[in-house]
Amino acid sequence: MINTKYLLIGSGHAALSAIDGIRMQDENGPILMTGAEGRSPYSPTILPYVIAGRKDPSKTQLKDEAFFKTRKVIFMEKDPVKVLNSVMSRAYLESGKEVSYEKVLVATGAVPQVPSIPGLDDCPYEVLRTMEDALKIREKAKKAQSAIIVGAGLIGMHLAEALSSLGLKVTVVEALPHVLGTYFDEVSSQMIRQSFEERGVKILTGCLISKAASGDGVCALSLQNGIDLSANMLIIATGVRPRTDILDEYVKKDKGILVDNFMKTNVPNIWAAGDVVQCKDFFEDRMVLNGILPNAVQQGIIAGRSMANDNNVKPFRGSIAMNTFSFFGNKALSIGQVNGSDNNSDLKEDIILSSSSVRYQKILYKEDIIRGVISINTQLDPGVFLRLIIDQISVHEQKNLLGASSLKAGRLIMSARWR
Amino acid sequence: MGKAYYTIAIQPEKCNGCNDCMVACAQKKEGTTNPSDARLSIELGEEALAKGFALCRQCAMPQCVMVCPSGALRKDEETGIVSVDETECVGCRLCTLACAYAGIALHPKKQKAVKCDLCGGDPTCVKSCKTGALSLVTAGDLYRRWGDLEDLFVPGMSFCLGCNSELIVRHTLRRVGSNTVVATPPGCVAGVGAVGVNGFTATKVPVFHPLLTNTASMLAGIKRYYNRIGREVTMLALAGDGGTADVGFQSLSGAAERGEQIIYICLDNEGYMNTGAQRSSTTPFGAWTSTTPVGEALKGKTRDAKPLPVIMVMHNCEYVATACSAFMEDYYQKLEKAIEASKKGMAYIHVFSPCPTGWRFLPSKLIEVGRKAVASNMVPLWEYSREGESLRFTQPVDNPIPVEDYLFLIGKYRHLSREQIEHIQDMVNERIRILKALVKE
Repeated sequence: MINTKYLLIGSGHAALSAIDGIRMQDENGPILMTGAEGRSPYSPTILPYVIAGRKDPSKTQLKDEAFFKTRKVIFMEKDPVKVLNSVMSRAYLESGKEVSYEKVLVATGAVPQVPSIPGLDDCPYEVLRTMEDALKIREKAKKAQSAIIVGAGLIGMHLAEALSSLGLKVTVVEALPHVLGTYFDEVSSQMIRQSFEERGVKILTGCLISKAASGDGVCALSLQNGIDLSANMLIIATGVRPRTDILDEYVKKDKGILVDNFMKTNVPNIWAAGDVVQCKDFFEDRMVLNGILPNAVQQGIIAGRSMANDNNVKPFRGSIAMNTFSFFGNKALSIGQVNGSDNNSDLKEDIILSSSSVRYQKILYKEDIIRGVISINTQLDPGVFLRLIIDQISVHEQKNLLGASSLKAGRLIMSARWR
Repeated sequence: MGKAYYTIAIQPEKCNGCNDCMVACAQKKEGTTNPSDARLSIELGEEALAKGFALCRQCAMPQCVMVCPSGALRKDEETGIVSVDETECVGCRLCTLACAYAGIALHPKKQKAVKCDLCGGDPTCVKSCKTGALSLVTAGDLYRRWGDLEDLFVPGMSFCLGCNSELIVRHTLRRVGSNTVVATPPGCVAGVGAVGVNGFTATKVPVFHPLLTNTASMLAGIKRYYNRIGREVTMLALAGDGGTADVGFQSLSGAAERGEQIIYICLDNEGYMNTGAQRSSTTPFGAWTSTTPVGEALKGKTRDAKPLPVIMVMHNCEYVATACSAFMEDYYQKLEKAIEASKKGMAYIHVFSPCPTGWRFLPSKLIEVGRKAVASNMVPLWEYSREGESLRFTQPVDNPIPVEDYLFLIGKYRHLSREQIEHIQDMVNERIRILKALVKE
């Protein structure tokens, strides 16, 4: 039996941030962190870069040994928790070891969500969530001439660029009408799509798959609209779902683990953070899933501080969708609400659109408060705009400048608020 | 963990928009003179004071590092500098999303994150800034050095919430060290348990509780005994303003006149705060106390505060200084000098010690009260040493703020009339004039 004060299940951004959160308050309380893959901590976000050959897979480690040493953390790289007994405060590890903890953080992340498609189970399809997945895709791609990617979300589109840069003929199939629909509006989504299509990536939107089959090193998909596709590789990138399977029935779950604004579950000594949780939304009164890296970091810090009884910890602000997306040298950014001005008269848009180049910017306002930003190749500080949205700063007088000269206006507003 | 580091501080009101800092940075980092190549940026707005800064703060808990999926960013645990390993950066820009200070950006050509690295600890932008708008804050050194010293007071003493005196006595004894005998006469420091409860003291060094009247003379006697038996031991008084300026003054004056080798620290909270906030001779004019109440006839204290530190300068001391916890680096420098001076004669430090409980302001405003007391010249910070032969302002105030900007932070001055404020302003101006006359040009 291993005894620890803090048990951190998982070794991603949320768990790593929780270490710093705990150590702000509790310098010496024993921390045990368990990983699943026998690797140094890495980020799933880096995987498309590994596949594209832009990142050496042996150099993806987020933290070195010194990090754990100075913070007095025991990291068991390859001994994942199999079952968590919330009544006994015990964790049972795959190796058969038992851990007795005072407080636990569940940061197990998410696993790929694979849709039910007739025949898919018999196809050698790939998903992308772990380093092993990435290395496998990279190996396969060396021999393949073509690939079908199901899902035009961030992972799907990142993969499409990576594989097409390796010389594969790539087809992306998406059920929704636009690519990257959660982050970009119709205009910007179209702009991104066009860039992909100009480089030979075939994109089919609004398409449902009726069946999958395989044979002779080829995977074939039949779409409901009658189109048939085939390629050497089939990759399913239709999103992820929280990995909650280690928890017993006493921990409340919906789609993910339900947490309050201090990342506490309904069980007093269990916290959860990162992709595994379902938490408050920033804009609306509802509980949402949030597979977003900066949110995971925030939640990890808050969970850690809360676990260490930090009285000054501020509640999580709520989940805000945000991401950066680079494609073929173009830089896209999305923060907060980016759609909804047409069916919600409260929201107003300030748009800059270039007809000759890949350039677009939209700032979405509710009265004088920014609710969301889309930028493709325009100059602004993403972090400054995120802060303007989070702090709900009224920007009435600077609205014109914010649209026309976003970089400068953002800095002026923020600097005035620092003092 | 818990270390303090260097950072670049910005005072926008001093910036004239000359761009020298950006040019110097661009030259050093990119070999160009184009300000847009610099790793800091200052944008001028339309109004005179409106400026937009983009500059890394070398955060204690850097968000850019925490969100980097590539392991390309790190904060050096020794120097505190947050830096990018360009070979490991994939250009994903999540760091730019995490930073609210516009302190990190993508290099337009390399497509890698670039940011300020403090030039390794000696930033070229700060050196190029002629107006003093940019400065390198090195206070981190101080807290790191003292963080390694042992706190010679125990935890759990019953100081009030936000007590300035607790801050000062813990720092002071930490620096003065364990080879010390402490005297705490009746007052807040003794009252919170420093001299002990049921036979246990709250200090890890010998401490005793003299009468209000004889702190300095008792310490003098102990020092002389140690000198006689050939042991070098530091004598430290931690006394309040009542035990120093009022009741304890005759023994202090005598000890100073005889040049006794002691460090005498007066924690001036401008009244008898542990017994119910009665007035003392250092309570300023107009201040409410329980013995100078505010009613129909009386409107607070009717006399000016006794300028005790100036009186001590005239007392043949080796070293005299004023201090304030809002200027800790300044205090530590003075403490160092006091320790040295006490080997020859008396060292006296008069510490301004705002009292949230007795003065009626929020504990969270403590440092602001200290800053504004200094900025308004209510509490000028200076030192006098026999060796230096002159009085020297250690935090000179070029353009003092009006005294009411300080006074109205504090509840005990809330009732002040325009005439009373004018009286205080006149008194402040007069005392600054006297101090300046003691400065040798």
